[in-house]
Amino acid sequence: MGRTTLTGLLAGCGIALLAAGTAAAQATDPPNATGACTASATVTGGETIDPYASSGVYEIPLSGTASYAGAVGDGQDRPERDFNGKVVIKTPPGVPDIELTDEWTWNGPGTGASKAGDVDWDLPSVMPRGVPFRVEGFHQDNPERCEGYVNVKIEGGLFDSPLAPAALGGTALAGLGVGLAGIRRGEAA
Amino acid sequence: MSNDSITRDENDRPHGRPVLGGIAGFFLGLFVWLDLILFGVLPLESGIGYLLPVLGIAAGIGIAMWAPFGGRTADDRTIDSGQ
Repeated sequence: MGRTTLTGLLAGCGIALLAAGTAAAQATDPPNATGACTASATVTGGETIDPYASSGVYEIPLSGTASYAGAVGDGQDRPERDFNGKVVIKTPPGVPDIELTDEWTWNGPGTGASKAGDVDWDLPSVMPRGVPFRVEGFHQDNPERCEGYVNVKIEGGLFDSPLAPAALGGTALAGLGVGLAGIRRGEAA
Repeated sequence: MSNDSITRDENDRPHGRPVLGGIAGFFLGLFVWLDLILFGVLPLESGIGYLLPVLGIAAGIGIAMWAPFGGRTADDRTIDSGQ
């Protein structure tokens, strides 16, 4: 029972977990979540995020904690049934979406229809700051389906991550390579 | 003035390094794509960035064939002097 309740995690809830931010006031985009679910997350020392209220852009710290709650429908336990869901970070077409830990993928059978708890995260320092990325998820609970996304970005400036100077350096080197390729060589006639 | 020195065959034109240009152009496109993402111009999930490495290859090879940099070749001097 406990496990099935735990696995009754909602996509919207999962989204809210990852989107847990401290700057909800900046999240002004129209919501992009569908289905009869509820979900919210409150960052410790921060504000509450509701993906059904706004799709972002939410700003989250590189590391932090949040408490969350979510439910399908009224959240009451249901007869045992199959369900599944997943939360991923979207990538360019053709590139597999970035899967999160097992906590972000769930499936039944089970009886639970709600979940609440705490979560913490500690992202690697290489994560680019201030760059919005889309976190997308769903919860399929026949016949209901909840899905949606939020846009999140990590607090900080561009150069807080080593990725930015590396990218700019790589651009300069590659540009130099193109320039070198454009130097006439030899005598052609 | 010799017509031979003016109407050079296309294959004989002085040029740069097309292979280097293509490779460097490919990486230039990749890094520009990354820069555009980091500066918030392109969203991470956008597929339009795939065009950039392709354009980079074309631009790199094009610049290499054009070879706009460097001194004049003996061929150019032949044309200019009318020999």
